[in-house]
Amino acid sequence: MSNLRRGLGLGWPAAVLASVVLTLSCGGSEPVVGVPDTPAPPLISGVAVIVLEGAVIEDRAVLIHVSAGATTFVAGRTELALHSRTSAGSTLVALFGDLAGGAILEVGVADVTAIPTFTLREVSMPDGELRSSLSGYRLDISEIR
Amino acid sequence: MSTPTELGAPSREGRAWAVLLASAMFVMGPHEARSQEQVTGTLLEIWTDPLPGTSAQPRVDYLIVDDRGLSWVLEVNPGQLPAQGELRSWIGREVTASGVRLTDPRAGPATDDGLFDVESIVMTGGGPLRTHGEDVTGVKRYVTIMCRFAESEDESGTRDLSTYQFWMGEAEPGMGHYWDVVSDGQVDFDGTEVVGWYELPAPVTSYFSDGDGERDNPQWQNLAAGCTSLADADVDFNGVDGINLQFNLRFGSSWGGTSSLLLDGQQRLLGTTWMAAWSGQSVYGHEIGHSFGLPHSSGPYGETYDSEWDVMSDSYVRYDETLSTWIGQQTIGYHKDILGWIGPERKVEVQGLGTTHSIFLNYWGRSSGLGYSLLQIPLEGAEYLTAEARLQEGYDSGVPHQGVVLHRIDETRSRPANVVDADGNGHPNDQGSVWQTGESFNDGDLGITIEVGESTADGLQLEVRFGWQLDLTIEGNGRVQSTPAGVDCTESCKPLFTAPTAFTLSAVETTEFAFSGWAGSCAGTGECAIDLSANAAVTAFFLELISLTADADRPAGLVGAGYEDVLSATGGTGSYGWSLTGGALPSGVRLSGSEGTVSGIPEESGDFQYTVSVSSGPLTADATYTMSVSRPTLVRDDVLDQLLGTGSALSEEELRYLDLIGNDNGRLDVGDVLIFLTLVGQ
Repeated sequence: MSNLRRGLGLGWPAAVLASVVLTLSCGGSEPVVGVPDTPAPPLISGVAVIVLEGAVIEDRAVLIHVSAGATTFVAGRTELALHSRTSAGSTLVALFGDLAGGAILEVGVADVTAIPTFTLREVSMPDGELRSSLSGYRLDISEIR
Repeated sequence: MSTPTELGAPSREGRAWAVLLASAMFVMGPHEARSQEQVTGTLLEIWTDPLPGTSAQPRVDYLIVDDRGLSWVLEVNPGQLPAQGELRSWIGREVTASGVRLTDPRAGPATDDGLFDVESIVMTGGGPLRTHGEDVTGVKRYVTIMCRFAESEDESGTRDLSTYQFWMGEAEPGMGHYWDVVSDGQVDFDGTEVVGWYELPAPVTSYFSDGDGERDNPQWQNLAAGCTSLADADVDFNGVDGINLQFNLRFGSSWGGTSSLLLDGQQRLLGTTWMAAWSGQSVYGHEIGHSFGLPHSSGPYGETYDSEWDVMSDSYVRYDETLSTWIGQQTIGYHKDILGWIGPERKVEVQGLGTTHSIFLNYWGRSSGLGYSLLQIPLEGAEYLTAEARLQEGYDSGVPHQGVVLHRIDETRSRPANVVDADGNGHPNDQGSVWQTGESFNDGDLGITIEVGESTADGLQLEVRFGWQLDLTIEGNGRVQSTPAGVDCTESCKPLFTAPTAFTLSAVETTEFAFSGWAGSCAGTGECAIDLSANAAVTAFFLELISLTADADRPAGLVGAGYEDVLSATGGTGSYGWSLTGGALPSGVRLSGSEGTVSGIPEESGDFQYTVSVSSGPLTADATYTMSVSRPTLVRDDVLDQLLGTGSALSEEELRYLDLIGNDNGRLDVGDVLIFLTLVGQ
């Protein structure tokens, strides 16, 4: 597994990222990070590093739905507090802290070619008020390693 | 109070002439120039009752019949004669009139009565043949003689023999039955008979002194003598007490009173009626009442036939379609009493300033043995009040109302009994003339109050008070005193004063009750000036001071959990208004102004001190309370489980709390949890 991970080198995450279809929605639809319909690569485990594009300093908490396939969840930075619960394969992840400072989440996956879908559910400001619209936010995989 | 229209009314042509002649004599010469003469004989009284709807006026005439059977109609000057009540008391007695003999009577049928202008009259003795006030009780045998005039004049209204027999019979509404009921069994018409028709020998004009054909000035004695002589062969007049002379012509009036007739060799005084063709049952009742010696009664407005309470006033109150006649109502208590129909055990007299009397008054015909039929209250002089209870049943079916009816009696009047009409509106038959349960008659001038209490099938309970009463009601605890002294009550009282009195009432509060105002004869909260020239009623309201009874420390609340706390008070009117006048309640909680309820969902924690003001009527009170609100203690993981969808350990109240401390959008979200974690330092 490690070889395979290494074999991907620095060049393949960019290819994967290039193939990611990222959808952020306003209102009814939710921002989705998907995978392209490409031939399945060999099962190579890895870690997807997620950033919240569009986040500002007043964004202090998020709720993210992660579809099946993730194995581990780690806060992207130490100052972030992460809480997650997995049920029926999918996981809800709550992150508290400064969300605008870079990676917010590291998700372990068993197959880097089958990255789970990340859906941004809620973004809260420091006073607990939710952002009324999630347009302008986007969950990106900044890195797969 | 005598009524000229009923006392020697000048409507009679002959008398009008006589008055003119007398006046001329007075003008021409000194009084002594007139030839003073005297007439001695039995005094008679006859009442004239015109056909309703005509312009003829009622009147009462007095006659003297001498021992030869000659009669003089008296021209009387009320100012020179005894009061009419006293004159009436001489009916049937021998009197001597002094004055001027204007025309002489002539004996025999179809002759005129004489006319005598009276200057003075005295009772000259002889045992009374029949007097006012003498009881009319026992068997009263009346003979009805049907007398026909030969002339072809209007006979409409005339009935046949069988009808007159029915009207005089024992079956309702015959006079035998009627007077048995009205007299409460004191009068028996046993032996009454009806005979006729007999044709009078002389033309009708011979029996009337008026020449205009109205037939309202009859020669009463001659008509009576004529008819009785015609019936003498068929009737045994021994034991006869009265005669009804029923004529076939439509005279302008019917008449009732007395006649003095020579029957079977004896001069007899008889109750007598002269009945026009139009006379029905009620007119028979009315005129026979006169023949018993009854006068008219009336309302207090100078009319004669305006009281529907008495057959001796307006006897046209109930028409019987089947019998085609008006049926007379009963007569009033005063009349029953003077005829001896209300025994001493059935009437009660009360008087005395400052006294109160409780009396049960029986309805006519409902003597239960417990009460009275007639209440009498003496007034000044010879006047008095009567009270009687009437029901709309039997012969009284047509009286205007049922309840207590009052009459003011003055026997110096031609109509001694006047209905007491409280509203003075000219209608003595409306509600102002009757008192029913809960109503009260009060005469402030006389200081008489009659309160009508509960009624039963047999009658009504009365309370009679003499004096001027203050009906003081004290609501709550307090004291009412007067200046000058006279009233000093710590509970409801009814001081009775023996004279009209003026005073000022003041309210004295206690430590637990506050005065809140007057009602009734006074208003407001100041002093209460009472002029007790008539009864007065005042209520003084004392309200218990308001006490807020809830503990100062109120039940604690939780943020997010429903909270309800009912504050309580006593005193005042029992109805309260609540307001928050100081401090503050936690957000989400408010005070109901009408119920004193503190309720809501606390949105914040802490100790909240608030001041409440309570009002009730004019009273207010304040109290300060403390309400503590705390946060629920939640386990972080339970909260996260709830947020992240893997647990439901939190209650509805805890979820509401989380939402309230967060963004209060009605659901749990990451913003709420962010705040929670911040608060708990995690």
